[in-house]
Amino acid sequence: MEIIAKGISKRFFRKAGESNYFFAVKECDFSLPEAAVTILTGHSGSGKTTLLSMLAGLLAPDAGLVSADGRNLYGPDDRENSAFRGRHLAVVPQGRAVLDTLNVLDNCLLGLRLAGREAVDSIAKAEEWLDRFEILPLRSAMPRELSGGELRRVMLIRALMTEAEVLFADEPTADLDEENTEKVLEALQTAAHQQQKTILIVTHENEALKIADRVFRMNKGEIVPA
Amino acid sequence: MKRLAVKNLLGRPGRTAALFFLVLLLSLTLCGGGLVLSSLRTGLGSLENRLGADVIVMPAKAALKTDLDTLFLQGTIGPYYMNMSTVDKIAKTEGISRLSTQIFLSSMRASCCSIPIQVIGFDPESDFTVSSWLKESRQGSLDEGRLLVGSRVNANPGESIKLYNISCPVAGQLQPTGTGLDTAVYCTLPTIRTLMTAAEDLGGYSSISGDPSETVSAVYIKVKEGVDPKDVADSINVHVRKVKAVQTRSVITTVADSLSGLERILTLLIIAAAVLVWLVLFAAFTLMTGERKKEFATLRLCGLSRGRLAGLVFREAAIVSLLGSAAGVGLSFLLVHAFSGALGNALGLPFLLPSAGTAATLALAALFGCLLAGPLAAAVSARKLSRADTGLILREG
Ligand SMILES: Nc1ncnc2c1ncn2[C@@H]1O[C@H](COP(=O)(O)OP(=O)(O)O)[C@@H](O)[C@H]1O
Ligand SMILES: [Mg+2]
Repeated sequence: MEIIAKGISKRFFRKAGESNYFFAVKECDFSLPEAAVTILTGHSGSGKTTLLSMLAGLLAPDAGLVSADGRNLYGPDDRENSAFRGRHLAVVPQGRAVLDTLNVLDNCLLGLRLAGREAVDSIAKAEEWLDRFEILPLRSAMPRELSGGELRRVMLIRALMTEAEVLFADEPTADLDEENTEKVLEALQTAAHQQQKTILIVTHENEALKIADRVFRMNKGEIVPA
Repeated sequence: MKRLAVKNLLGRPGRTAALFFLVLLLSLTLCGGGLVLSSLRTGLGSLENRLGADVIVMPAKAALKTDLDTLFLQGTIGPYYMNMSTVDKIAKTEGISRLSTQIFLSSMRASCCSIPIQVIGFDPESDFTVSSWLKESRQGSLDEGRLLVGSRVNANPGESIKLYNISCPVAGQLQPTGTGLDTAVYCTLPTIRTLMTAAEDLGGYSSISGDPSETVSAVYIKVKEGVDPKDVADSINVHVRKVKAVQTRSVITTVADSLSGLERILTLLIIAAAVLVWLVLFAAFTLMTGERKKEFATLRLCGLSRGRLAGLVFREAAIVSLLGSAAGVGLSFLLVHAFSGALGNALGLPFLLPSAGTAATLALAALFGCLLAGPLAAAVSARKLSRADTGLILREG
């Protein structure tokens, strides 16, 4: 599935020189091709998360269009948009985004369940991922008992489990050790190359550049090739 | 989704319990208050029904010593009697359609009697005030020597009550009226005359002068259609000596007046309390939804639509509200039932639990009132909240 953004921009209200607002993402075109890992780097505050959110259907741009295989992500019907996102797009956000009342395993299966696509082997698959990322002993733990890195892996498994064709990951290795960083990147690369997934990773990690098919930098709201 | 709602509730026991008790409080206010109000109404209604008479004539001495309101709430006037010849004079008054006599006797707190109790003797042939009520509840025939007991008398059909050393079998128990009539026992005139004779023999009833068979306590009169009960009462008061005739309507009106005053205050109190709790509940649900912003954003992230999110929150709130309000309704019934006697006494008004239908309506109304508060507030604010872009909420902290 191909993500295409045309003329999108996002501004926030804040006094900046003469105007009352500034552009977090300046008007740009951007696209994510299938079966490739696209990497976005850049300084903190340069607009990476804002861009990723717009591409993932989570933040409506002020101008322009975002489409997935030709389908507008910000159509008028929220139910259809949400159903589409739940089925085809998976996001590992930058911050903590888990349900505190569900244990680790249930959180891993959340996306799948909400889309009504849980299968007989889903639990086994989730456990396989948990084992691979070395958190299987935590399968029944509650999120508040987990460290930042452990939570990050839970959110990643949740995204991988949905089998969405597009995967967005905002600093997925931020609080991981070297060994786990390696494993996570490897999993994302496999997803792109063997399952033809469309992948966007926002990261500062040099390590990540190794798996990149395309690399972009953001600078003050502008996308520049790296 | 259903499991998620339940898990969310169980996962936050403190929050769930707090909401549960708020809803319980609301439903207790609505249902309990409504029950008290309608019990008072029902009590008044039953009082009117039991008082089929337009005019009641009693010995003048009794009228002096008895507060008229309490006469009807208690059903008897104490140990004052008049002679049958007086009844004949009363019967000659113009405008009377039916007339029936009753005799009252109190049993004593002594070894001759098993319980201190009011005994009311009436004449099934001519009676029109008690009989219809007796018919509703009658289980056994009221032959000589047998008693019917009020709903709050502690004796079952088949048992016997000892009165002035005479053992009287209980023929049946009556429907409750919410008044003092519920603590009395009923028998025919021959039976009560036997009891009076026995009482005299024991020396317990000095105030009975003359032959018990020539004595009555009160005369109940129904006037002919189109006749003003006041004229009949006035005529009796003028022409018959040593008696006092009173209109029952004036008594009912007194009770009804004090009831409507009380009703107004109670209604205001209930509304004020309910509105207060309702507001607190609404605020609680709204605050709670704000606090769960991040959680909702996570669900949106996973592809939950605004509508389904509102549905989830609605479901959670509905579960808590249903349980809470059901508990509140149950508790109100328990409390009002347990304290109905005490409430009636404290208010000095007839107090009678309403029919099952009315009670069910009340319970449903309370449930509805509770469901209107919580779930709606929750769903509305969840929907409003989820209008904000998920991306923005997720990047906040
Ligand atoms: N909701 C918002 N209101 C105001 N400013 C915002 C908001 N979201 C992001 N910004 C600003 O937009 C810029 C880009 O933010 P972000 O995309 O999160 O940067 P990055 O992910 O590259 O660190 C930052 O300067 C940030 O302060
Ligand atoms: Mg960021």
